[in-house]
Amino acid sequence: MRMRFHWNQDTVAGLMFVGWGLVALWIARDYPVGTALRMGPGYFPMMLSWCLIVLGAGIAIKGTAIEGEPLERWYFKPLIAVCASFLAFALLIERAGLPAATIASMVVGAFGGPEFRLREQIILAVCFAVVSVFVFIHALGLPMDIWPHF
Amino acid sequence: MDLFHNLYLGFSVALGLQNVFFCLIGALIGTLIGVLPGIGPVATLAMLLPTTFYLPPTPALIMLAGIYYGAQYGGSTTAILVNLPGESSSVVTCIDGHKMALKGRAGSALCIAALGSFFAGTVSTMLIAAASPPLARVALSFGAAEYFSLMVLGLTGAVVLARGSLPKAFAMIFLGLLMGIVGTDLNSGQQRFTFGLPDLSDGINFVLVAMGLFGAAEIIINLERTEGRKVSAVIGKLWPTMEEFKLAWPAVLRGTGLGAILGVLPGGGALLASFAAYTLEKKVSRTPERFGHGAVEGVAGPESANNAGAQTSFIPLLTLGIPSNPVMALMIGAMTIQGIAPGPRVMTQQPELFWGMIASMWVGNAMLLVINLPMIGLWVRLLNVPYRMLFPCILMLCSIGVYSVNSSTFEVGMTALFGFLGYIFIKLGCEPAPLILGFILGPLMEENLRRALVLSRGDPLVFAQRPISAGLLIVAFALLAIVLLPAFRKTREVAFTE
Repeated sequence: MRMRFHWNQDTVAGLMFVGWGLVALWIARDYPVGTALRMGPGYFPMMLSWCLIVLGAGIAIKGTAIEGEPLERWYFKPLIAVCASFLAFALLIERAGLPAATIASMVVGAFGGPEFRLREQIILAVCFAVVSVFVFIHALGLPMDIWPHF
Repeated sequence: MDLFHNLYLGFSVALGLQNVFFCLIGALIGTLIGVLPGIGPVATLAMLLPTTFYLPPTPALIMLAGIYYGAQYGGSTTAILVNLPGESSSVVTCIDGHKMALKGRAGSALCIAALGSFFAGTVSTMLIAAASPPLARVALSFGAAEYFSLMVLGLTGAVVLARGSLPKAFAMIFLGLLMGIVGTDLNSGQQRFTFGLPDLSDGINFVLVAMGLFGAAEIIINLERTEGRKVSAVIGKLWPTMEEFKLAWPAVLRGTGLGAILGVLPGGGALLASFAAYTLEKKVSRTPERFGHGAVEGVAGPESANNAGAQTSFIPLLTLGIPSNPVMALMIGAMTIQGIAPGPRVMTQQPELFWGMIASMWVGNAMLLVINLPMIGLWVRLLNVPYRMLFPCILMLCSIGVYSVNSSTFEVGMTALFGFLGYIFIKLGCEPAPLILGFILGPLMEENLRRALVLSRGDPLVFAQRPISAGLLIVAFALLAIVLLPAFRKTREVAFTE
């Protein structure tokens, strides 16, 4: 019987771990390793990287031999919307102030939802922005701006 | 009696006006997130951590603890009424709890869950009070070698007792350890994995890691799955019948005992406890065929167990400074932010904090009984808020939460990255919990490994020569060996798929 090569969650996860290990090993290539007695800053990372590579390779190889869990479909809409929401907040908070950043990133994030109703989301975002100005800036005293500055 | 003296001290702290207030806030928020599906205690703790910066340590920790065990109460409400686990530890409650609700016994199921949880909470609070001092005394004699071995045991246990693939969980731990040591090396000043970015020279902030992996990634996954929520509106009479009561109380006792033990173990806590308790109830029942059709024991056992487990998982944190699950990892972070080094010295150096927190757990449990039973209608109404309105608010709280830790936009951006990573991990069947444990323990582990080897002049046998250290390592290997046995592997799989 011919061995079949399977692509499944384990195969890809294993390869990912090998990848992390290799990248870490490469970045840490110049860190002094030292000896067990006088460990340098490179010792522990190197140990961990090799563990990751060996373990990852094992997972991947075993994964190819078994049926395993099939790879799942990716849904890019919520993924991108949620990540973009964080990025929008990061970009706006120091330039445009808390309310503007809140409204922008909430509406961006809401695109990822099962159904998007612009009016509803804007009303929700404005309400949330008003409440958060009171709670976070007035009550808790977090150092954030309310209005944009140019 | 020392115990009574300590508890007296604890209650005098916990019943202070400020502490009662924050205990109530914690319990309320905990119930809220417990009731709402799609947001777990880890993400909530991470979100609310910044608000505790402005509080003194004791109320801050009391509130955070309240959120965790409050979530155990709230989770059962959703499980019973909507057949959706509000909290992952309530997954098994769905099976019989919702069946009871369909039979019109929802009120009785809710009541049994709450009373069982309260009983479990009371017993495990006493257990924490009784078991912590001796454990802390042992821990005080620990040197670097013992601490390293303890962490090895903790991480091994966390993997063995967690669900999912073992090798992948181990790989996640190593990845977490690696991410944990990003930043400036304390001994040499060498910048490690910082890509020359000054933002990374203090390491990656654990709040954003938790928020990304447990908050953002979970929201993305939730959005993929279409929601079908139907609240069964009829709660019925709250008080259980005599017959139900008779069936429930032995299950509560068993659940409490099992949960309390499993909570202490590394990797344990509420989730494992509830699964194990359900399996146990089914095993000991004379009529196992009733399970899945609304068996009272199937609600009483797991619900008591998850609350007991949630509470006793504080024992390793408070006495050894070792987190047994991601929630405890966040508690360590909270303590560090407050300037408290978690470990055996907390008890002797800050007895008010230590005993106050323990006593507050009982106070919180009593409050939760009130919050959950008479106010149940309010929480049910909350369940009707659609997720499409809920998740943008959660996202915002995450963003504001991360930003307020260090006022760093870089860290908010990093949260998006970790959300993306978390999504990949879930898609590849890798549980994120071991990663965050490794992340918290990474720097500690390296430090203790280095110190132990310097003290032993570079001889790695030091870990085997010191008796406590050797014992801990043997237990770790034994755990691993047991899990690799085919027979046990099967039961482990069965226990988690049920």
